[in-house]
Amino acid sequence: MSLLSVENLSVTFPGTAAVQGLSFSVEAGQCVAIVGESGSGKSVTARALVGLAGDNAAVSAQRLHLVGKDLLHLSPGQWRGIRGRHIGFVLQDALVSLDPLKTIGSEIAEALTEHADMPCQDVRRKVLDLLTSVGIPNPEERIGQFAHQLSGGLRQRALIASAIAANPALLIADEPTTALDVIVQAQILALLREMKAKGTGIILISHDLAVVASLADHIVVLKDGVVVEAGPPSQVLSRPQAAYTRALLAAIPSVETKGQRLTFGSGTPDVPAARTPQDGGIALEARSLTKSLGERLVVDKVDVRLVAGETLGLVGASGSGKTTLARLLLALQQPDQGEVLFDGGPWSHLSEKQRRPHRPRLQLVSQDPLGSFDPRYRVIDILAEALEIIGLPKREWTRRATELIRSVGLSDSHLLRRPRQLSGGQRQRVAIARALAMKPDILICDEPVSALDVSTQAQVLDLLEDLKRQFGLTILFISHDLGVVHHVSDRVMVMHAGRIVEEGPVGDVFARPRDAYTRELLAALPRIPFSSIASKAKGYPHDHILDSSVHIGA
Amino acid sequence: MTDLTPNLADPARMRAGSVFFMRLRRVPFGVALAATVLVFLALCAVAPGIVAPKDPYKISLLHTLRPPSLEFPFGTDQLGRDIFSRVVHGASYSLTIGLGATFIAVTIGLAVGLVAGSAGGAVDLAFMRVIDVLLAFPALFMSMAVVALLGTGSVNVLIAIAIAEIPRYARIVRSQVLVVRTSGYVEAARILGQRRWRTLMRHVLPNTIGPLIVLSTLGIGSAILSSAALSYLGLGPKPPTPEWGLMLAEGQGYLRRAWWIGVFPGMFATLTVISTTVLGRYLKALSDGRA
Amino acid sequence: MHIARELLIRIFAGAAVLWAAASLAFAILQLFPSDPVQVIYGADSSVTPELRAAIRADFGLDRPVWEQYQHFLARIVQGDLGTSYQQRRSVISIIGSELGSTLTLASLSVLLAIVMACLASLVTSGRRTWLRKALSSIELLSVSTPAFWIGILLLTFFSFKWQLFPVVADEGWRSLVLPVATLALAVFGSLSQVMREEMDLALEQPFILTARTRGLSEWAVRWRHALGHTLIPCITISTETFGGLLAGSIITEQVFGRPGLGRITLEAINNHDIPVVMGIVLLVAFVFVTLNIVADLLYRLADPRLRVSAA
Repeated sequence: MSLLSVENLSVTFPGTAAVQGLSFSVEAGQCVAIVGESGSGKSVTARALVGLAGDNAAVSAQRLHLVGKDLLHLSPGQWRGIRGRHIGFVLQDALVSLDPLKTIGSEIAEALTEHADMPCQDVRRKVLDLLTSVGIPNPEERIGQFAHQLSGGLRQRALIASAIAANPALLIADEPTTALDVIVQAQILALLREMKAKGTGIILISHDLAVVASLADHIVVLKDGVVVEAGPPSQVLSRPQAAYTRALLAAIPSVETKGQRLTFGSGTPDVPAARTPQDGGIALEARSLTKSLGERLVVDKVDVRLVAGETLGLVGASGSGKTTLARLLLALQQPDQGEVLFDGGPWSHLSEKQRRPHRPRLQLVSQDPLGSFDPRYRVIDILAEALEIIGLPKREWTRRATELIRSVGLSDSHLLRRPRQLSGGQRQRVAIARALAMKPDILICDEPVSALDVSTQAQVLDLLEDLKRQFGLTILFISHDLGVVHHVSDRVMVMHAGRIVEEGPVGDVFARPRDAYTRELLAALPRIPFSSIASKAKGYPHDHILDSSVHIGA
Repeated sequence: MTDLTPNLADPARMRAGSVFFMRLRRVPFGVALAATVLVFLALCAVAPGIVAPKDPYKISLLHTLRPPSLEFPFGTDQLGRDIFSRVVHGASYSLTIGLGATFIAVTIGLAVGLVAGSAGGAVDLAFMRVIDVLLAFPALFMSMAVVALLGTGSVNVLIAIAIAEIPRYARIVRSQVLVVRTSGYVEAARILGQRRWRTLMRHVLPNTIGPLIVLSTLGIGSAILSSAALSYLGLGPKPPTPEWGLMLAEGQGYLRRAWWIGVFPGMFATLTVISTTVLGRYLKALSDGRA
Repeated sequence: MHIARELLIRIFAGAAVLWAAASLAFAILQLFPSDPVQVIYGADSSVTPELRAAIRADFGLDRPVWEQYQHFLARIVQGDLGTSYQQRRSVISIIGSELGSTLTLASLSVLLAIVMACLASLVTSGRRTWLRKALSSIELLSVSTPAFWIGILLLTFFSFKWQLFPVVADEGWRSLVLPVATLALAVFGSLSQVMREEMDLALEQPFILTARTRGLSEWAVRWRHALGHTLIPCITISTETFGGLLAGSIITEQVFGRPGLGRITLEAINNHDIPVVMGIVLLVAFVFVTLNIVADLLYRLADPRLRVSAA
């Protein structure tokens, strides 16, 4: 008998059908992955499987059996007996998924005390065993600590420990590695593989096909609540049947996609380069930059040489100092030592007043565009503000704003909307439009696509590439995502703990890394093993597969 | 060619009050009711004679302590005066003090908070220490202390309440200024190369005044409560002024025989504050929804 | 240790604030001089100039300002808040005799208000039932109604009309019921509002979902997880709440004719007995500053994220 048997599951909310017609089954020791982008219904499914889809959700199915037991018409009391005891649940980001006011010992013990009648000493011993089984060293010390005192990887392990405390046969993991850096992610995936080997059934929810590839025995691809494809990884990943799956795979940036568009269809007109930058000239330079925040040394004697016309990638895990470095280059903060030179002349050593007239030439696209917009402004106001600064006369503002908004693939009607009403991808396009309004030479992009879906990310990356060619931009592209960096960059710098540990042409660095950290980083990168992704670009018609969002930004 | 409609002709209009871009959508019933009540009260304050033609000061020993009736809708008090007309005439005191004190406090608080928040450093520190000192007393208490010094009466009560409320607004303005100054959009403006003064006008001021106006609407209610409380304690206008708190204080001795003396003046006060609070909360929800 | 240093900084800052408050009080005293002779003897013109001078000397009012200031500060540090013009007793003893009554009233009321607010939040947060709407309305009423009117209404109906509780103030615990109810109702509104908002916020956090996936009941989730996250932010409003309590106590005491700080403050104000008023003001300031420091420390100790530095 299957561990979990789902047939024709549907979850509806008033007004929307979030999931329809979903069927799959999970055996002991097997992993089923449910993959999709935001809005696909994957998280709703996960929650519906433990009866937590929400008070206003209507869950129905032809069959929903857990080891033969029917889950469809359970009372709240019966559900409580199932949760934690027969089905465990792991969310992403243990920092917020564990109660910050409780010790991890008490969090892990909670499922135990809820479902089993154990004397106190036994509980403590079981918790220590659990900590060890998930690979946390020094359990005696850790049991009394709080989530924020553990590193990202350790606390995710603790979260997993709390989910399996009462020994459930099935574990549902909803994006368990999304908040982690690549190396730690690999470790957590290894842990899940161990658990799978010991007989736990796993349902893995993710947006990342590569992550899923290493763990899943069966993949289900969801789009808008409907299954578009299902099958073993060998089929789904290398011989995808559905156009959506093909497009999704094609949109993943990596070494293989370098030099090619990630999406089909033309978001922006293909215009030949309007400006040829001074090839070879140094657009932005930093010498021996050092910055400490409090007692921590965040940037440690960093040299940067950004050549005009190139895209320089800066890759590193969170906490490596990338964002601080970006802020130093933008002269938003002063370095403790060293200096930044812009176009050959002093930059960081100037006064703000002297810098201000030059600022338009060095612009930023950041990870969270919403925070960079005044909440009271509409899109056209945001652009008008930029146009005012470069001195464009007021009567020209509407005309120029329209030009700008079209050049980033949005329509005129978007000008009157407020950023809150736009999607993540659309907001990012507005941020790019604002930066372009200044007619910059250099664009610093700090994790510009990290918060976006794969398909949206692909569109924005393509857009940036188009704009770079059209306006002759020089780009510094900062990201923790190796695939993205590999796809966009000409040269790359690898940053670790405040220092640049490796630098060079991107192909060289990624194929023949010299530094130990770079090697570790690349080794941890999840790959899609059955690679015929290269076949995607050739011979595929212009299907508007990723729906209208291809033309007008999603 | 752009197909934008003419109303976009001047897209860059940055009105400071644009947070109240009120396209009158469906206003909730409770809010409409509150607004109506306030309009009625304003009428009572401005033209009490229209609402209640009877003389609020007229003593009539024949009609003392009469229960509510058609002739005297709220009954009469211990001196035979018509309570309804006294309550209506009392609106002007409460509303004037409430609005006046809040206005003064907001204006001064805005100035102080702006300077402290914008200047930063030693100036900010100095200002905030002073504010902390003043905030070391509860508002009502501070008002009482000020009245102790200045003497009783309506004008002094207004000044006392204003002084007591200034620290609160100053602190709110200062924290909002700080929030705005460290916000992502102010930093974005800096990256664009905007001049400091322009950032102040375009971002700092509008994003500060909006929340301030909303909070001051709520503050009017608290000012009215303070004014009624001070009058109740005998620190406000002297009898026979028909002030609500004073009426309650005077009438307290007769409650055993005449419950209506204790109910109606208080009811009007409560109604006023409920209305301003409901309105203020609605404004807050509007501006939060947009912000 | 980190905490000890923080404590010291705060105490120092608090002392500075108190000193500023005291100096402000003194300055105001100088700007609005109140003649003790006037206070004691009224407009009695039989007071001879020698007697007048003697009385003024008694209060140290004939010395230069700078000297008076020094004396003033010195006395305060020793805990001497001066002597009342009216009663010729030390301000401390006047306050002390009445403080107990106010403290009883205030503490019982705030306890009741907190319990009510906790219960209200636990039951209604995170849900959209009619109960929640009813509670919102009660909160609105509590925040908008003058405290003295609540008292008068309670008096009118429960004491006069239905004779359930005594009207006089000293019949043991029975006379405390209505005043405590009045003050608790007056303070409850703003407290409950903040608590409910915080609990709503807490219930939206991911760790609550995790707790539910472990099989905890709704009540257990709120009691064990959400409540802690609610109470900690409430510590920050404790100073304001105390302010409301103090103001409310003064009013409630007046309504029910109870002894307490309210009575002596009003007497002092009406008699222009400035030393008493200033003494009370300084005492209140002292309590406030102390409360601020305690609340600050409590906040840091309660939240482990602030207590210990991250790994």
